[in-house]
Amino acid sequence: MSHLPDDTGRDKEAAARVGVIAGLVDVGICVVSVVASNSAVLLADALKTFLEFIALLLSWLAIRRVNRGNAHQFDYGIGKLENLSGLLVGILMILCLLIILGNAIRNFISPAHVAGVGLWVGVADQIIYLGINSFLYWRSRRAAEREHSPAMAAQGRLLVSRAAANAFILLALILSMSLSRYHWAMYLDPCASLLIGVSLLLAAFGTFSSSVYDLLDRTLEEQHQFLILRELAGHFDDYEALHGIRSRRAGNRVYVEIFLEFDPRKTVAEVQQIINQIIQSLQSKIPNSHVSVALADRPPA
Amino acid sequence: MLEIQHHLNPPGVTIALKGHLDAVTAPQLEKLLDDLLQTESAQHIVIDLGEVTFVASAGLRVFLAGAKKAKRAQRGLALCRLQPQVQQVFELAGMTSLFLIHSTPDESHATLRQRSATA
Repeated sequence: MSHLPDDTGRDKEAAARVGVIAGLVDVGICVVSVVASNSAVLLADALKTFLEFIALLLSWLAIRRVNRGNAHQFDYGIGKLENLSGLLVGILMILCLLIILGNAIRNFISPAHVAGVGLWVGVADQIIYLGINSFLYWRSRRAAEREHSPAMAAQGRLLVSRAAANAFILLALILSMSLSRYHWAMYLDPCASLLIGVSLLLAAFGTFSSSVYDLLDRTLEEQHQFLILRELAGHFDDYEALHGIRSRRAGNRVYVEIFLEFDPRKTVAEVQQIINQIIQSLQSKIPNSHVSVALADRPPA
Repeated sequence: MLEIQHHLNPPGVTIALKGHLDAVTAPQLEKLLDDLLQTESAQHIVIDLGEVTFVASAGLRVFLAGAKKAKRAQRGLALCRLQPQVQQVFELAGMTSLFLIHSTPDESHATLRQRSATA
């Protein structure tokens, strides 16, 4: 049976696809400007652009897979695929960081003024993509708010950092060109590339930590745990014993299992009604959550 | 880090806690509560939270489960000397109505004895 994506799924896929195409074009232009200028900051930008393109590509592939079907093969969603994508991007970030660091050290040892037509290509590229990234960020943020999707939120974060990087690189290039008569201006280019490296390091740390924690089935945040307890406190007289609460995240989905014991004199219908109330209330309060209440007479193994 | 001391004074027992009650330390309190609920001489359990500076959801979960167990075992359970930030956490979780809360352990024991006598 074929699976037809709904309007929201198509919107997400279209937004991701535009991001991938824009990213691919940007990678091509960056490579040309690096080759034609020998600038460290443009090399750092090219590597960062490449990483962003990979992240956008992985997001788009994940969304596309869901929209094209095969969802029935993943009863618990494709959250872990998103986490694995994040981990892969994190590893690539570290590799790119090492290249940026090595190139900056080389430029500090043998400094030279940056020059060539590649610089002008770089300036034009930064101006154009500053506009494009700002627009795409606005679109991604709207989609992320609607869907509570970490993939779209990650894409939004990448785009806003990209727009800020565009502005920074533009400034670095303009300064390098306009101050070329000064000897010390030769160090502007590798210094700026190191700053891009630092931003990459911070991004890698964030990507790694969130992806690894989610892959390890991290429990819910305290604010959501409090919501669960509040709900159970509200139903205090409806059950006999609380034997445990388990929760985990998988991508944008949240899974909560509550183990309750009920008075054996209660009918199945009565118990089912209480369970339904708890489930409906919690699912309405915790976005993208799937809550289940299990009957238990002892704590879960 | 959580320090737990308990003073058995039949028919009551006072559990004095000091430190943080979080996911790491909560199981210690849970085990002690389970043990005391099996003990005949602990008909009234008063938990003194005067030296507790932080309670996480894992700690609240122990109190919620403990309240159910105490009710089932027909034992009295009360809390006392909650610091403002701890009181706030209990309020946030909607759990203040589930417990008798007093300002001193003596007050808690007296209330529990009185309730037990009238029951």
